[in-house]
Amino acid sequence: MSATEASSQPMPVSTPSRARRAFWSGSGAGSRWLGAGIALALIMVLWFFLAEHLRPWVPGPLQTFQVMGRELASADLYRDVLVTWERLLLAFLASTLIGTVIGIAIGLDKRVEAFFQPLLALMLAVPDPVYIIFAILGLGTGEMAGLVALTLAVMPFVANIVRTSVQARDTSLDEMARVYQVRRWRIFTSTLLPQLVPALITAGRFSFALSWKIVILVEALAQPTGIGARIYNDFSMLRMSEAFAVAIMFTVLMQIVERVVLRQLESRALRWRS
Amino acid sequence: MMRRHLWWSVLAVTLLVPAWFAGFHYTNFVGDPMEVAGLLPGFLSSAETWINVGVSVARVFGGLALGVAIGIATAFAIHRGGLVKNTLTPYVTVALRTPSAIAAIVALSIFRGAEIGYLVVVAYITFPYVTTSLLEGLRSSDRELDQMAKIYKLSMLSHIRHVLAPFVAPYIFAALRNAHALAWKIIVVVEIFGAATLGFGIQFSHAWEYFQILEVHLWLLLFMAVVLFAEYCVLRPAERRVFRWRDAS
Amino acid sequence: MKDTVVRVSDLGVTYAGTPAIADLDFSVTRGEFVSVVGPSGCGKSTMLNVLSGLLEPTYGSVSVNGRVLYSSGEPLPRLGYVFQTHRLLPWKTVRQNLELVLSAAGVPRQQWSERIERLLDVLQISEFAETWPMRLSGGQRLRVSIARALVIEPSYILMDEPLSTLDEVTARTMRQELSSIVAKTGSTVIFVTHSIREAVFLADRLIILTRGPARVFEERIIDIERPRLYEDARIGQIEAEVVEKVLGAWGLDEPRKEAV
Repeated sequence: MSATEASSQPMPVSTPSRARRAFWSGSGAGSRWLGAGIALALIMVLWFFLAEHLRPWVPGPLQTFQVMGRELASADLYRDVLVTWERLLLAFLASTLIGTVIGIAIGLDKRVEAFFQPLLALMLAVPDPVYIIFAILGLGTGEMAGLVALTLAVMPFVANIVRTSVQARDTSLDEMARVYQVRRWRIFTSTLLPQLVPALITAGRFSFALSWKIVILVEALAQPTGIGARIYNDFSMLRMSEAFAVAIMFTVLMQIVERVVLRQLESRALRWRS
Repeated sequence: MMRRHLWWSVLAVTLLVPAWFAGFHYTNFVGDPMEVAGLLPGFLSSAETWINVGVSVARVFGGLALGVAIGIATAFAIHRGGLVKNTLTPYVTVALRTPSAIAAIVALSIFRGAEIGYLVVVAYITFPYVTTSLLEGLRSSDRELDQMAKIYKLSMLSHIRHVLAPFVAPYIFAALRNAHALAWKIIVVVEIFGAATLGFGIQFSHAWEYFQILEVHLWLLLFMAVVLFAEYCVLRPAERRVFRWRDAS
Repeated sequence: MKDTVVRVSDLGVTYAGTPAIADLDFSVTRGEFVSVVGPSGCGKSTMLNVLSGLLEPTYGSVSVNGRVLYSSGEPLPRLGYVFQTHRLLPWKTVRQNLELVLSAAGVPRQQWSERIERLLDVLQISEFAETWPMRLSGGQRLRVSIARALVIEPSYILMDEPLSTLDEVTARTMRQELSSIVAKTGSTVIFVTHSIREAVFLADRLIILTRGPARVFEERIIDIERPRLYEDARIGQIEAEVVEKVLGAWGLDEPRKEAV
C-alpha cells in the first residue's frame, strides 16, 4: 500500500458514537425517515405557498385532501380505476411479450440487431401523442387504438432491455450445448431461458412502470373513460382539486402495486436462485 | 454494431420507403408518400415551420441546460451525505417516476403556459437522470487524482476545472443522451396539454383535430429529423471530442 | 554549516489511539538523495503524508527551508511528488499536465515553455509533448511524472516507490536514469522504497526505520562514487549488511506462528 493510499483509510470509531455517526452520515434508517419527512414537509410548504398565490390554478392542499376523501367514498373512482387497470394490463402484457420476442431475436444475432436497431431508434424518437394520433386515425376511437398506441410506445424499451441482457449472457454455455449437440429447442430452454429470467423480470417491471404512465396519457388524449381521461377532463374544466386529487391517489396506488405486488412475483419467480 | 453489419441497417432504412407505399396502399391512415414528398419543399421553406421548430428546440435545450445544472448540484449535495442526502433523494426518486401527463398538468397549473413552465418541466423530468449518473461517477471517484491536485497545490477553481469536471464528464454525457430523448417527449405532451401557440406539440394537435393527415406526416418527419439530428450531429460528436484522450493504444 | 532543506524534528503521528510515527527525527540537506526503507506497515506512508502537507502531525514538526509546515500564515513550500501510480491527468497532454502544475505553483507564464522543453529533453520524452498519457508506456509515464515534479523547481521531491509497478527491465533503466537526472538537476529527494538494494543504489544516505511506530533505526552514508552500477559488489555488500541488521529490528527472524 503506497503512502497516499493509506490516508484514505477510515478511522476506527468506538461503538456508541458509531450510531450517532451513522445518523449524521445519513446511513441510518432513522436518518432516512427524517430526510423523507423533511422532504415531504418542504413540499407541503411549497404547495401551500403556491396555492395561496396562484389560486384557483393551483388547488389548496386541504381542499385537495377533502376531495380525495370524497372520491374514495364514491363508486365512480373505482370504476375508472378498473377500466384503466384493464387497459394497463393488456398493454403491459402485449408490449412485454412482443418486446421480449424481438429483444431475444435481436440479441441472438448481430445481423438481426443491425437490421432492427434503426427501426427501434426511430420508434423511440416518435413522441407518444403521435402514436395515439395514428392509432386513432387507423382504428377509430375504440379501445384497440389505445392499446395499439400503448404497445407501440412501450415495446421498444422492453426490446432494448431484453437485448442487452441477452447479449450479456454467458455465451460459453451456448458453445457447451453445441459441443454436446443438444437440440436447438433444448438449448433455448435449458441454457438461455434461465439466464434471461432476471432480465425478463426487470423488463417486466420497467414495462409496467412505463405502461401505467403512458396509459394515463393515452386516456387523457383519446379515451372517454379511465383515470387519465378523468384527470385531463378535470384539468381542462379547471377543476384543479379534483385533477390533483385523482392524480395523486392513482400515482400512490401504482407505487403500491409496483412495490408490493411485483416484488412478490419477483421473489417467487427467482426462488430457484437461492 | 460492427461495420460489416451496417448493410443490414441500411437495408432496414431503405425498406422503410416501400413499406410506406404499402402502408398508404393498404390502410386509410397512412398518407401518400408522393403527396408528402410534394408538399415537403413548401413546408421546409416556410418560415412558420422553422419558427415552431425553433420554439420547441429552445424549450428542450433550455430545459436540458437547467436540468443538467440542477442535476449536478443535486448530485454533489447528495454525495456529501448526511441529512441533506436523505432529504434530496426522495425528490430524485419521485421526479424519476412522475408520469409525463401529470408533470405536464402540474407545470401548467403553476406556470400557465409561460415559457418558463416548459423549461421547468423539462428540467424536472431530466435532472434525476443526471443526478443518478453523476452520483455513480462521484462514488467511483479517483481519490488519487484529488490527492495529486492537493499536493501540487491546485486552486479550488483549477481543481474543479481540470480534475473534477473532466472526470465526471462521461457520466454527464451518458445521462444527457437519455435525458435528451425524454425532454423531447415531455415537451410535445406539455405543448399539447397547454394549448401552446407555437411548437411541435400544438402543430400535431392542430393537424389531428382538422384531420390533416398529410400535415401530421410532415411534422412527424421533421420532428424525427430534428431529434435524430440533435442526437447524432450535436450530442454524439460533442461527446466524442471530449473523450478523444480515451483511446489507449 | 550544511544547508538543511527538510528538518523533521521529533515527529509523532497518532491515529485513533495508535501511534503510527513516534519521535521520528532526521534532516535532509540540499542536493541530497535520501532513501528511506522500512518494513510494511511501519508508517512510511504516514510519513510521506506529513511531508507532503496532507497530514498534520500530532506532535513534533517538519520544517522546510527553515519554515515550519502546518503553522498558519506560512506559505506552503513547493514540493514535487512522484507517485507509485503515475497520477497524470489522462485528459491532458504531457505538456498540459506540466503546465497545470506550473500554473498552480505560480510560475510566470513566460518561463513555462523553456522549462518544459528543457525537462522533456533531460528525460528524453520531447517527442511525446503533445501525447495523451494513455498512449504512453509505463516507463514513459514515469518520466512524465518525474518531469512534472522537476518542472516547478521544488524545494524537495518526494518519491513513493515509483519503480515498484514497472517491469524489471524498465525498472533497471529507470533506476539508472533517475540517478543521473537527480544528479544533473541537483534536486533534494526523499525516496521511499521497499527494496533495500534499490535504496542503496540510489542514495547518498540511507535511513532505516524501525517497525511501527516508525522512528529512525539507523542512518548510513553510502560512500560509493557516482555513476554507480546496480550490480556493483559494494552495493550488494551494503545490502547484505543492512538486511542482517534489520532482520532482528524488523522482527523478521522470528518464525511466524501459523494460525490454526
